[in-house]
Amino acid sequence: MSQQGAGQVPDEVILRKYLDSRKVLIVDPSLSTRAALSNLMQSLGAKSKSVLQSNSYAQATDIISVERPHVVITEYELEKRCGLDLLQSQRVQRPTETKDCIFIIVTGNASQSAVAKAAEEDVDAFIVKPYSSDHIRTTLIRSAVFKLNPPPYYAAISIGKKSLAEGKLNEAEEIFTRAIQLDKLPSLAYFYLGETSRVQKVAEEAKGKYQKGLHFNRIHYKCMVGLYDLHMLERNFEKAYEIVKRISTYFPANPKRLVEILRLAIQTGQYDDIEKYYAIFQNIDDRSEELIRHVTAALVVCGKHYLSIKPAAKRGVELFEKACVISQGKTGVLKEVILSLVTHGMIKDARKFLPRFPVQATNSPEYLFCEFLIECKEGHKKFALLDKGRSLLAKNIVDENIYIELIMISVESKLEKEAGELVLEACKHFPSKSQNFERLVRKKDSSVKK
Amino acid sequence: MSDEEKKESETGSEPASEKDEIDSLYSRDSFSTIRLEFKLTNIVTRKSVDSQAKPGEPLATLQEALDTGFKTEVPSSFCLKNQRILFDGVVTGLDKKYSMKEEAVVSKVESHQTISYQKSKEATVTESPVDTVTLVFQEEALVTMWKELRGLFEKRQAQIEDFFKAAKG
Repeated sequence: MSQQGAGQVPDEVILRKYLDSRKVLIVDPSLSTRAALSNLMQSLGAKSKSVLQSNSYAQATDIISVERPHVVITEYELEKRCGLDLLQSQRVQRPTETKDCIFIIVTGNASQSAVAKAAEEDVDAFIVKPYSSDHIRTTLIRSAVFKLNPPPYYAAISIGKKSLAEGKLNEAEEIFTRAIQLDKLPSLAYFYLGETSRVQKVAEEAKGKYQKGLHFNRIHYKCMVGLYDLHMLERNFEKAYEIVKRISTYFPANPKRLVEILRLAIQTGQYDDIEKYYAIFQNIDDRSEELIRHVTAALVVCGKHYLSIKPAAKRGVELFEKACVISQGKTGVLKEVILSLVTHGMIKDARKFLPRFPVQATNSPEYLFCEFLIECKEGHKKFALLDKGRSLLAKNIVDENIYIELIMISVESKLEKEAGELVLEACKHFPSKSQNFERLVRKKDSSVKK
Repeated sequence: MSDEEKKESETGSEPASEKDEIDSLYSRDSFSTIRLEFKLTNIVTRKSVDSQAKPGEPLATLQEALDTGFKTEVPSSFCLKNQRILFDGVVTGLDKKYSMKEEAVVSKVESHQTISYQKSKEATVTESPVDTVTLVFQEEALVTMWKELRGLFEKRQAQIEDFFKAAKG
């Protein structure tokens, strides 16, 4: 990437000139790391007063909005926040100058998920602690010079991107086509050609360009995402799933991506893959509420699927167990699990899930409903169940399954008047299920007549 | 074009023969993380600092790898120049577990001043003073051991750079 040669300006001089008039922000909880990086940046040409420091995410975002630094060097882990999020703040402050801004991660977190996320976000460099001063110096210079004085291929793409942004599509297409000749592996040029076709609304052509890009570099992130987006736009979920599954192989553990992939796996019936994504989820450090909700839902849906295939019922129960663990006793999840097991006649398994309700939730409508349902299926005393069911309805715990059980018990106990009243009440609450409730009474009548 | 080839062309996925090669280069399994956990004990004072310290306990943060040792941040006054420090470190990752429990000597101590900054409109936070300590291994065998350990981080850094190039290229 270095372009030094006869008659060319040395990289350090280019960087020195750049840093001379620009602000640098260093964000790291470690005071000594900030001091070391500050010294390094000053030795590379930044002015002392232009090197700003912060030890927290909140303070760093404030500094970015007020000082608008061109260079941000940050630790990945900033208390409960991710240093990578600062890139968005920088882009908001300098939306039209991204090619002149530099964003570098210097971190002790060298996990694959951190690296993959940084690569997805177009971070300029990812440096692992402990670094060597020579290496960090070289990397900083190389990354910065690459950005400020790119090779002809990247320079052409940069000009083409500008034309594309300005809506000069023919001009952009020409520039990207020319750029292809400037590099042996021109995936990025093909990606932008694909983007140009997409703006021109020529979807098939765009797909062809992305595929061509992947022909040169099979893990080219932008080409894979471009292809994925197009398939999603066309609601071609099967092909979209193929792509996103591939993205997750090389760029795993991105929480946002995992949510998409889980949704698509369920949508396309790829239940066997869910456990693989659950394993990826387990390795993610920053599990948002949204991600937990999606993983839980996927496990429950998948578990229900396995219950419907008798030989795989045990696997279904295992998935339910995982769902209950990650949802940390969410009563809605437990209710869904127990109801599914009861529906499939797995009463003993359903009973095992009841103690998973947190102690403070044993008076919750969900717990009381599940306990009642299990007791009905276990064949507890009918009159006690009638009282219990009635008391649930009185507490405004209304569920069609409570009515179904109460109607059945009333009919079996020959309490016809009671059964009739329950059917009326049930139909009032669940009008769309009226026929089901009425059938319970008729079924008994017809069996009596026989 | 066979059905499989057609599918590959539509999704941009690679043929099976090439897939193995790509997987071996970039899959999660071969691209594992690397982590160094260590504890430093001042042999004179018996005080210890740990890279895995809980909040409120003395913390050591590894910063820079040198040819014969490393720079680390420790709480202020943890050690003085020329004191001996016991380094007890374990590196996990890259299919290896590498441990080293040896003595190093403090060759330099740089103190950092306490600074205050406005964390929010309401609160001002004062950071505790810290020292950047340079520790060096003196025996040749220890230097060799340290270089091997440092080599793992360099290998990981090289992997990351390759991955970045491939993903963005």
